[in-house]
Amino acid sequence: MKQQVKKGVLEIFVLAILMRGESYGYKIVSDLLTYIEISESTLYPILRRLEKAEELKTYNVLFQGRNRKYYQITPKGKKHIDEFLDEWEDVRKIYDILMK
Amino acid sequence: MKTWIRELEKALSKHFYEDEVKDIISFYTEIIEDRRAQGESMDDILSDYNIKDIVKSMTPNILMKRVNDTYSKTTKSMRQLLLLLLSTPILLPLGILYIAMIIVAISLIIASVSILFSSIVGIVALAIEISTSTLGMAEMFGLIGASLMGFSFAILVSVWLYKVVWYLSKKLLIVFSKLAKRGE
Repeated sequence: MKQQVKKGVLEIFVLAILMRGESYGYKIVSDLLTYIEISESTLYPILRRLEKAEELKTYNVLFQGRNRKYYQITPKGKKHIDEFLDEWEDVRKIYDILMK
Repeated sequence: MKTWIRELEKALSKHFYEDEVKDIISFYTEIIEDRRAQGESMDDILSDYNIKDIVKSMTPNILMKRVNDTYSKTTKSMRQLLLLLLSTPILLPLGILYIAMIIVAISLIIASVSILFSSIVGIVALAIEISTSTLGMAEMFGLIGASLMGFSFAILVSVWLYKVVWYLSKKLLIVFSKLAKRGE
């Protein structure tokens, strides 16, 4: 996937992963790695950005004697996905029209 | 791992505030511990991370979300952004543009200080002039009143100019951080 396109949709991929259920940093990276190339350094700012935009919320859970931060999608995050998919659909339609 | 975390902390501390460093450190600590729990060796895990790259990749994001509410925070953020732009070849043109913007901002601040300074000098000169002149009482008060109005107006202009430059500097910081993030 081209770098620029990837950057634009990474947030959506992260939100999509969280649509399956709440998750934590390592698991999000692992799940995404099945489909795309992503590193922790790339994920960190995305998570913080989404958190700041209130598209996901976080909470800590004590796991094997250490803290683990869980991320959970919010209604605003779900709305973001819907809007993105609608826009994507529009792009597809316009492309199809242009190719006719 | 502790040594690596300390090194990361040390490198991050040069650029970021304590709470920002803590947040990044806890993120990486958690990931490393999770990877280790999955059976990966510590050497393999740490070989995936380059401290310099981590610091560099964090800079635009941290600058974008940082609340620059004080003079020192804003200037520190501006310095960090400038360093990032000038140290990354692909971002160099952006860095030069940012320098140009900073020069314009500095010029405007100098202009505002000059307005303030010249109005003070003007008031002093007028006071000397009035004390040595043979003006009548009414003319003298008229002149003092007019000059005080001019002085107040000059102060207002310089304060306004300073505030505008400060506001624009903060906005530029965010805009250029976003551009740097896209350009990376």
